[in-house]
Amino acid sequence: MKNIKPTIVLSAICMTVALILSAINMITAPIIEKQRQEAANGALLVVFPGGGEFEDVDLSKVTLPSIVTAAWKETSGKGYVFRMNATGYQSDLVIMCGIDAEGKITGSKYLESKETYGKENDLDNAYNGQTLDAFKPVMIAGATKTSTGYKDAVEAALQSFVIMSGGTVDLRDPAQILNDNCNAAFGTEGLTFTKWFAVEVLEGVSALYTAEGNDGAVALVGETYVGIGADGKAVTAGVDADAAAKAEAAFAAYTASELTEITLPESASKNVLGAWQTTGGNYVFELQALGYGIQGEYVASGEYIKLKVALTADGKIISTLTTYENETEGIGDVCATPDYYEQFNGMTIDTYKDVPNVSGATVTTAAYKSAIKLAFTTLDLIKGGAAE
Amino acid sequence: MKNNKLAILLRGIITENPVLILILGTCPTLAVTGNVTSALSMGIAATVVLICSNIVISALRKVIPDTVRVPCYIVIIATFVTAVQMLLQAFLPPIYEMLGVYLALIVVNCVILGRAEMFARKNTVLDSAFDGLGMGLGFVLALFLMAFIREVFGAGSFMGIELGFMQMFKIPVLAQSPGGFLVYGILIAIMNKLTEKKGGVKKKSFSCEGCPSASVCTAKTCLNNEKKEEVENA
Repeated sequence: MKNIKPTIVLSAICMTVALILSAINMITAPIIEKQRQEAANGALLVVFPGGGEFEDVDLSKVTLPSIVTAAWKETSGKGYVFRMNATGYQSDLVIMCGIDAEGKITGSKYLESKETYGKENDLDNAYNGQTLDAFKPVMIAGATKTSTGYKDAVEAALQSFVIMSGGTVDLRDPAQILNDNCNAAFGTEGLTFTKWFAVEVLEGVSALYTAEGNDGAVALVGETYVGIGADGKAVTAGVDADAAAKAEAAFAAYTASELTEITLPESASKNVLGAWQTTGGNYVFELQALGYGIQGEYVASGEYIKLKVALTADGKIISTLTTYENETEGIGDVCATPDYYEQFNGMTIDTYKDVPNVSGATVTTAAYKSAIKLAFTTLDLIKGGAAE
Repeated sequence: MKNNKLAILLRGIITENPVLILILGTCPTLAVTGNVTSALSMGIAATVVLICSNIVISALRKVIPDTVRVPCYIVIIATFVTAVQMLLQAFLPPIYEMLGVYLALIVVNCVILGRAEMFARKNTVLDSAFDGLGMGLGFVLALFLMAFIREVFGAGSFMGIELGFMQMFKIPVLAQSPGGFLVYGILIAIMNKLTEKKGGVKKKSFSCEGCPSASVCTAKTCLNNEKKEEVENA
């Protein structure tokens, strides 16, 4: 019984102060919320100059690229601001990007990052004025991954704008799109396709894709994916006869092709690791390039870049593939990306120099080009020319 | 009557200054005295809480049972701190941002709880209000003095405004954490010297008379006296 009074008093005090505090909160909460809104608007105006009020977009009601974590709509319809969490070299890049009603970027700014060189500063506002239709990545030398992360974020913002404006955007990544298209052409599901390193000329076919566990292939004819069964016949329904014929011819060349090793002349460079002739009379060279791993002044890996080059007998590159590299991560390893090495396809000894060196990875890319040149000179040598 | 109120008021400012004599509220004192603006803001916020909590605790002193007095005091103090926090956030956001976590920590500021326990629960509402005001002013003055020295001589500025002349002769360590302890120690030493000369409390005496809170202490026995007697008897 003696505990009743203290309990009642303490409870009464607690209830009274709760009432007082709730009354004060009723007065101050709207003012604090208004200030918070103004502060948030201020941050949005950095990437959307000239904007007025912004309202939150409910992301649960729209499907935007997965890296978009928040979105705001300018209430008078001038545009949108998006916030993205992209992946940089060693940290998440939190980037904000404003887009006006015409789909042009009004500003971009990184909010958080722990990147090594702080290059993200240089990328702020570098995309201003760009649109999704004419999107051009901005890459900074020595910060390839940071630049790529920033590019992904800005591109996601542009895609989000199109979606928010009622348009449609394919949000799948390129590898997924390829697999989906190939599977659709074959009528299969879940197969993973890889591009065949073409050693024969495939007339009218830009690429041939094969999948493990499937004896057929998928040919890309123009923009049409044509599945070819193990019997060499096109299996994709609704494909025109010309495309089907080209696809079947490419598959026939692929299955018939065999490589015969060539003994290299003694005068051949030691950087030519092997040479083969194909059934179709083309040549394949395995080469090593003296990239930054060999020539680098600091923390060089001591390893060569290895690549394969397929050439026609008259000296035109059919395809190129980097098979191994241990160049500087985020810089020289650009040589292992199809975007880089596929630039050489179709080139000759007169034109291969037109492929530009990558800024920041000049030692690697210049060495790569020397290896490409070595493929041409070795072909000459095999055909009876003099070694350089 | 009038003299009594004035004595209560002055006691908090000088002879029982909470920061420099009672050595209470050391944490916020060291934390916010890097510049004068934040020191004054903290001082005023703590004074408001101190006056209000002293008044309420004194008014409820006959209602609050002894067994739950500390929880009741904490609830009352926390209420005023939360109210001040909400009002500052709404109407003076720069000050709210500046004081940061130290604003919420006024709840556990021992000056406030100390005065509730030592004075407000035993005295009238008016006396408690004067005690709160005096202690609050003492707290503000001590913080201002420390912040003035640290900002002017340590950072070469006053309330954020750069003082051209002082920029050339500033002593940066004063604006940093070690400088806070250094200035605090020097001010305590000066205060001790001044109060001793004016017949104030002798700090070297370890008896009840040497206790800064002796004037309001109602304890029948003093642990220090008991120890002293034991030593004398031995």
